[in-house]
Order: sequence, then C-alpha cells, then structure tokens
Amino acid sequence: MIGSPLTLLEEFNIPTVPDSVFSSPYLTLGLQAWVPQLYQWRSVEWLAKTSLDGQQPIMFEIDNIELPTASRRWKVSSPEHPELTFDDLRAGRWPKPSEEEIEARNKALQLAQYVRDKLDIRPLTTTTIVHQLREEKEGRG
Amino acid sequence: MKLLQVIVELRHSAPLKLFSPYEELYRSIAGKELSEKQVPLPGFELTISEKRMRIVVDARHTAILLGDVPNIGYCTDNVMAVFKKINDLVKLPSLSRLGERSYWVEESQLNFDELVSACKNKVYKPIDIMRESMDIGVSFVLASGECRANIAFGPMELTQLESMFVFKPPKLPKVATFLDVDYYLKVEQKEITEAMLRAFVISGLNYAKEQSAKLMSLLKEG
Repeated sequence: MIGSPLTLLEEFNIPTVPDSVFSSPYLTLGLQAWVPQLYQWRSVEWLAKTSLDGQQPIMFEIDNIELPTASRRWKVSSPEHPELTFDDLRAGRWPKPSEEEIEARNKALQLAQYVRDKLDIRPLTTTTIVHQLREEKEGRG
Repeated sequence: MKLLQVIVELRHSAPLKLFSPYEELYRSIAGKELSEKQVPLPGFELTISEKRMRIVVDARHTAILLGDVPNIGYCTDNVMAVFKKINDLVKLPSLSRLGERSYWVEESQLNFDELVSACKNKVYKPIDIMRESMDIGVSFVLASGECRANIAFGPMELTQLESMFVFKPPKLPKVATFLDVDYYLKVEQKEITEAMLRAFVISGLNYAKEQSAKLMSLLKEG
C-alpha cells in the first residue's frame, strides 16, 4: 500500500538545523523543545495525524501495571462455569451450555408451554381489554 | 476486519503544567508570569510490555497506544483508566484536537498482485496510469457529525504489515487489506471531561468498525 500524505505542504517547510546544535552530553532535545515559537507557523495541532510521537521523551519500560478497569471492578460468578471471566463476557465469549443446562432449559420450556395452555393465556391487547370490560359491565347489569 | 492497534491522542491547547515546573513555581511565589518562556521538560514514555501498551505524555500531548485490542469495551476501559490516572496527578489542559486512530486488517486469499488488481478495479477508473500501477493506496477525508476521519486503505504484504505495528501481533497474514482510520475532532479550546472522552473513544471505534465493514463489503462485491 502506498502511503498518502494527508498533511498540508507547509508542514514540511521547516528549516534544516543539525541535531548536534541542540544536544548536550546528558540530554538531546528536539527542535520544537528548544525553539517552541516554531509552533507559531507550524500548526501541528490541526494538521498532523493522530500519533504517539512525543518530543524525544525519556523512555521507561515495565512488565505490567494494575489499572482500575471494569475487569477489576466486576467479578463474574457462575457456579456452572467457574472459568468464566468478565473479559470473556465482554468479548462475547459465552460458555457452551452443559448437558444438564440444556435439559433443564427444555424442561422449563415444556412447563411454560403447559401453564400457557392450561391457563389459556393470550396476549393482552387493547381490543381484549375493551372486550373484557364490556363483558364485565354487561354481566353486572 | 480485525482490529489490531489503537492510538488515542489528546492534543492540548496549553502546555501541561507538569512539564514547566519553574514557570509554575515562579508564578506561584512571585505572583506574576515569567517574562521569558522556559524550555519544557522532555516528555515521558512508558511501555507496558505484558499489556502491549505504550503511554506518552509531554508538554503538548497525552497519548496511549494499545497493541492488544480484543474488543471495543477493553479499549475504552483501558484508555479511560490511564487518562484518569494522569488526570489525577495533573489536570489535563483544554484540548485543541482529540484523535483516535485504529488499524484494521483482513487476510486475503489472493496473492499481492491479484489483490492490488482487485482494489484498483473496485476503486478507480481503468485509465492507463492506473493499469500500469504496481501498488496503490486509497485515502479519503470523511465527515461524521462534528468529527472528521482520515481513512486510508490498500493491499499490504507481510513485511509492510509488520512495520505498521508498535507491538508485533502474534499472527499476521502474508497478504492482507489494511485499513487506517484516523477519527478526530478539531476544537478551538475544549475542556475535557470523562464523559466526553468516553463517548469519543466509543464512537470513534464504532465508526471505524462500520467503515471496515463497508470496505470489506465493497471489495467482496461482484
């Protein structure tokens, strides 16, 4: 893939200054650090792409850190799936249901169907309510 | 497409006080501004290898890179946690630009030349210069409400792909379609709030995900 310059030409209009001019035995600072007024005619803020590049930062490295993330604040407790974590759920990695769970789910569905048939439960619509109210009124009269 | 790297960058309209301690001390004790601006201290860069994360803070910007991005929720959560830690130490100045850049990759079954040809056929008119081209890159600037997005995509081979990532992903394809979405908001001076940053990070990634789906659908058509 060919990279395309999305920045405007004036970004490249920077005077060439040897880096050695701005160095000390202890620390090397970039041109922008030594001459911050260059920002006046180089509108970096608006033109440059989103980037990680710092002004020659001091670098550190560690193995890991603890961050107050949601994974630390929330714990998932599922007795059937003790291995399940919050990150699994957030990533959409749901555990497969066990044989027992599938069986229990089928039984629950059968029971629900039985109750529905027995009680003759129908969706409660405006027409049904009006009809029932009318029947009740006529019954009382 | 698979999301492989995210950078969230806050560009400040005024320097972070942390990097100009002498000016701050002078102002605090003398009760007036220093007549001449001091050189800001060099920036700070922290690499957290196990988390495949890099944090950069300097006088003018605060940025975080995530090289492990299993899902949008993980990104948002970690970005917010890092910015909260920095903001607890030093109040972040108002913003001049807020950007979120994400890299997406989709493995191709075609070889590189075939993929270049397929991209050309989908995107460009068959003029002579286009027929002769060996490689291409496509870029657009799109608008999405207040935000803008610099979008660039094209075919890549493994060597070029590897050079795109700060933390090399465990498995990269030999040939792939690469998409770079730089979603950003330019502002004169905007105070940063947690809610605003969270909403921006989520909307930026959702926008990029939508664009990646559109791109794949375009390339697969016909």
